[in-house]
Amino acid sequence: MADVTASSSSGRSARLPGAQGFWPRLLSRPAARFGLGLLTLLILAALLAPVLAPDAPNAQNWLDRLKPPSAQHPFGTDAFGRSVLTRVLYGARISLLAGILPVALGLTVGTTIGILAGYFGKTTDRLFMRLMDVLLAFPGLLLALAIIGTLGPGFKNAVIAIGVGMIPVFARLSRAEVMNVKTNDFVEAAGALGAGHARIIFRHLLPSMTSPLVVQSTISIGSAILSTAGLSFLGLGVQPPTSDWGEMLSSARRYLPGAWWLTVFPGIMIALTVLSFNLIGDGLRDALDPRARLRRTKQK
Amino acid sequence: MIQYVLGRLLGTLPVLLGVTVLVFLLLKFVPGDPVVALLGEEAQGMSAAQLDKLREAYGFTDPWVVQYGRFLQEFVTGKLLSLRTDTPVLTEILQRFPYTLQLTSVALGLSVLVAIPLGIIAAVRRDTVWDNVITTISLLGISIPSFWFAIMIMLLFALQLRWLPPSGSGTLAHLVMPALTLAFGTLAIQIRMMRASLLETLPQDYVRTARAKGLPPRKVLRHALRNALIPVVTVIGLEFGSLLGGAAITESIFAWPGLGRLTLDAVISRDIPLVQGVVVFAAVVFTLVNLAVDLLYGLLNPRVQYG
Repeated sequence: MADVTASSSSGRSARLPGAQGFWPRLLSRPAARFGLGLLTLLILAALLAPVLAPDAPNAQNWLDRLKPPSAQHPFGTDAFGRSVLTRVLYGARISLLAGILPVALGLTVGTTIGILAGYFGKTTDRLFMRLMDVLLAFPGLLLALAIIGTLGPGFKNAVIAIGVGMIPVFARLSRAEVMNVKTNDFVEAAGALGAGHARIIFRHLLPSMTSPLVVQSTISIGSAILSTAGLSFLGLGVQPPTSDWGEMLSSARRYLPGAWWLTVFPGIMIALTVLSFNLIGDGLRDALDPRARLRRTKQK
Repeated sequence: MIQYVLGRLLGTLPVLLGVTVLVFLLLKFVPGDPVVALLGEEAQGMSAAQLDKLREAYGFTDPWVVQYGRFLQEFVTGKLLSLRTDTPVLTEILQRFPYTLQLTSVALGLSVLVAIPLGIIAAVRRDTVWDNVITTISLLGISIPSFWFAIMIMLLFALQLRWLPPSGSGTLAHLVMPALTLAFGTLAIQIRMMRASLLETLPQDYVRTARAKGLPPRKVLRHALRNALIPVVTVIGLEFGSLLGGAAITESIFAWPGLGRLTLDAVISRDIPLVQGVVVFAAVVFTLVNLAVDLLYGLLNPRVQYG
């Protein structure tokens, strides 16, 4: 495997002048290439669902109930005679959103908190970080369950519930980066030259922390997909007749062991999607984190 | 040392108070009238005057600080009652907790027994087929949803082979599938941690010295492991604390009567005092376990100084 990596990256460097750039570095890893390819397919499937799907997502056909996979219905049909392939394709839209939206929430709020805490320090820092400690004191899905327990079930509330739980990770990460970069001479120089807080934050601090935030976001999307699918599985997320893969799995349980196709396909889709984000996240970490690269070269 | 432990215990108090405040405030986010939310169906058909009276009786007209103090007092003294069963929330929790404790211990024990050897093999045989296979297993472990894994093993062991009861509790056989599911879920992170940690330890000088003075590989590995295990213990501790909060999904699939299922039932029936109680309880347990792990860290790593 090491040979393949070496030859492909050197092959690229022959063509590209900036071979040590971000994309060549990312694409030199077979696992990251596989993850990116997989994700591209999944996004295409989600976008093109209306074109690719054999039927409308909620089209019921009572004559075709619980049919195993066939040429007409490649993934079989469910208890309402709906095509599982169609529903899996449309489910991709919701499941991808269910991964991206909570992370967007956690990233925005968390990074804001982290920057404010790290930049201003003192009481601001103590206050915000204590608040993050409180959020981190809820194990696993519990915070999400508590939030849904009060707000009620549904896709929007599930996104909020999972998103709130992601705030502390991003807050801690961005705070650490700010504290790290803040002490650099160039930041002090900017301040001495009369740059305001906003300018220092947006021009000097934020750009330096994109790499760790991108890596963390990618990995978080994977776990957010798992969590929201879990909530849907428990009946607390997406409500029927709309369905994501978690909800499909949940309703499929009633038809076991006979209708295995109802369980197998949505499950594989979740696993593949999460896998693709994990592979890309690992690849990004290696491509973006200079320290990780240094460690690797030192060991070799 | 005792003073140090006490100090650390005191240090968790602000966080725990924060948890109770947050859980208390959640009730304020309940859409609509809190009394209607608390009473559920009973509230239907009540007149506005009746509701007003109840609002006062429940103390919703008091200042928030007073309401919060009452919530805290009621919870601690066991007077906070579940809406569904009218039993104290604390009693319900303590009835379910042993089940979760049992499940968590077995699941974590199982995963540690598998993960640590696999992580060691992957690190020692780095970049070989072994490493690739083990790394792939751990990637799948992170990517496969636990509820899907649960359904698949249920399909295999309970419905096809009929070796195990599909759900419920009472015998050891009932424990197998939920424990396997939880073990599978936490396996991946432990393998990754063990592998990464050992890979960082192996190139260090003291390991090279051990090798240079002619120690057999097994003994060299023992030297390295003592340090490499420290971050792994931290991860295991975190997982333990987290699982003790109840595994809502796994417990509900296998009808295991633990804290997770209690939480889920409370959420579904919108039994808000019970939700609040379970969440506070789990957060307290989680925080205390994390503290214990922190202290254990010092025992494993003599370089950490108390004080």
